[in-house]
Amino acid sequence: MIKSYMAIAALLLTPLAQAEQPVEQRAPADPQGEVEVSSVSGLVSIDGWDRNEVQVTGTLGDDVERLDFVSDPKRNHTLIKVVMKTSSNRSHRDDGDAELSIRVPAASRLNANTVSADLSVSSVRGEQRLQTVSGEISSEIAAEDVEAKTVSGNVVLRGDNKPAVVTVTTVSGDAQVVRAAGEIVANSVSGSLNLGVDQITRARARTTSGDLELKGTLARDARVDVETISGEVNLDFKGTVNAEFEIESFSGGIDNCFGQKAQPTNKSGPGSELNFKQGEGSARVRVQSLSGEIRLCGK
Amino acid sequence: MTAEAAAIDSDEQWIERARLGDRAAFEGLYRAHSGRVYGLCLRLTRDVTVAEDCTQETFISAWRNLARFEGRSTLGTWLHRIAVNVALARARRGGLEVVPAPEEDEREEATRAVIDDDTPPIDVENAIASLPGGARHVLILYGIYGYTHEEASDMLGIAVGTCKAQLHRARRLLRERLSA
Amino acid sequence: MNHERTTSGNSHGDAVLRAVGRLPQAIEPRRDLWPGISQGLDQPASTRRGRFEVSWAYAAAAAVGCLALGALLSYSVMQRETASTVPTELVAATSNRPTVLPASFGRYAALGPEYERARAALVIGLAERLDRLPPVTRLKVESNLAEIQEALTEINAALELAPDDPLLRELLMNTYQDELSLLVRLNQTAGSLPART
Repeated sequence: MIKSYMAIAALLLTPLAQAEQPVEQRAPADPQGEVEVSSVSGLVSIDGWDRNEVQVTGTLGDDVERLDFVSDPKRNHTLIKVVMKTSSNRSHRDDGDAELSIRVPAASRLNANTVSADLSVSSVRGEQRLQTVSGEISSEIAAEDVEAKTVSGNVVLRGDNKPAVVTVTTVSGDAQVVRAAGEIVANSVSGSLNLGVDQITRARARTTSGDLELKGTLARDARVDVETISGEVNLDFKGTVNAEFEIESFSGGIDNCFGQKAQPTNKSGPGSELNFKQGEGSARVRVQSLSGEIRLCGK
Repeated sequence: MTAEAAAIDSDEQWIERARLGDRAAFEGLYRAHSGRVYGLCLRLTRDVTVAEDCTQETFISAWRNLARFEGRSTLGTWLHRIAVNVALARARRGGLEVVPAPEEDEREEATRAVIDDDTPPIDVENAIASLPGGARHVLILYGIYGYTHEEASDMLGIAVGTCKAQLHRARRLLRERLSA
Repeated sequence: MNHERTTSGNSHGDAVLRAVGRLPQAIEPRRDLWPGISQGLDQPASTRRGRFEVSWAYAAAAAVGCLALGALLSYSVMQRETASTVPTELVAATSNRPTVLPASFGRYAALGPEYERARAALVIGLAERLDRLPPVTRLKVESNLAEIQEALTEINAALELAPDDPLLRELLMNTYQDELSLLVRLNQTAGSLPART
């Protein structure tokens, strides 16, 4: 993916002796440049700071071949990559981990991926793309887009109610989003989605069997689309609600604390539907399920 | 009569006949608007085959919903609204942000210091295609197709403030990428 | 506003926006799309949103992983050899994990040959790619693929009772898309991992 650079400052470690090795590298970096991090197992911790510099400290286990630290000032790009030994050279002990602590300029754009290493990010204000296979992802939402993707890791994203676009994709991992605002897109197969979003402008959430909870307030022209096959859906809208609701389930129940009752659909099935307008009806909320129960509330 | 007024006149006649089931009239509408619809679909989806599907779905949906077209906007704008929904629904359901291949390094020799009137269109198109989703969508609607923030935000289902912020971001990123 | 936008976009004196505004609004498709549209006008709307068939080209393209940016203006289509040449009989033969991926899709899905080719291409080598995942993760992925299959079975069973229900049809298509998306992600994720010994 990364092609050749015009000016590369490549700091490569020599092959390691059979012991955990400490690591410390640093290089100047553009305050709004891109930092790319790639690791396998262990821990990756990334924190934003106010220096125009990227710094890596930590330890590398036996099964790590080397740490690549490549800085390309022309493209405002820094790469930090853990390279593992080939299988035949590995000790196969349980100390193949790399534990990295990385400091990056706070406004950096971050692109981080690991296999099983947990990924923890804080104080980074630029756009984030975070991906793991089974590692946990934990980060903060500033004002830029955050995308978190995992297969079986859990995801926790914490915002401070500033509008941003948040995208979360899991297979079996659970995802929790707290104090986001604006737009959210969340998908899971069996993991549960627990989403707290203020002033929702657009929310789209889907699960196959995972439970889904969306809590927050609706912006005036919000569009909310929620779909599940068999998961349980809980929508909880606070404040003044001005929305048109279209709720339909093929065989699950619909419970509505706004007052209106679901009606059986006039199709050949056990389904029920609920269509009503609350307040001025400027927003639109649509929920569909096959067999999952749907609960709708607003306080 | 100006070309613009003539176009509107024939749109109105075609719409009236298409509403009555006149397929030839609908084909006329298609011929007149396909370029702008496809152009939008292509830039939103960044894939030729998907853009073709998006264009077809847009016109099929338009045919089915002609009764709902009230003439409050032009037909072209209405078609664009449908196209945006189609393209974005697909991207959202897919759950994938497909990132275009990075620019080839052969261009390093031909770098330019500023973006100006001589910047080749293909460089601008490529730079737009490399932008992140939200910023790209707004830039396409506002910058290429001339919609206002209110219109673009309505089409995209985002707040006007978000739209303006995304445009600001798009301009900054585009300036960086075209000046690199 | 009630005029067609024949003039270029908004620029407000900004060089970037001027350059963007000079781009052509209309781009002619490489082929005439009217025949496909005309055919679609004849088909009944099978979902509430009026979509009649989902194109899997997007996911298939991502799966093979070679979207060429040059295609944007030169209309050249990348090669999708694996997606176009794999016969569906191979799917059953190569899939050695019985819970995961049967070759039939239920009679309610208007999936089309493109979907089946994309899915078949992704299934080839799926077992090997799953093997690259850490063992616990692999088990979770297999279990989730089985959950999606269960969901599809449930929806198809419901469709037996209510074949024209647009909700069910939409859930069905979305769930097939979920499965395909998962296979694509697995292809990308596991593909970047080394093979386990």
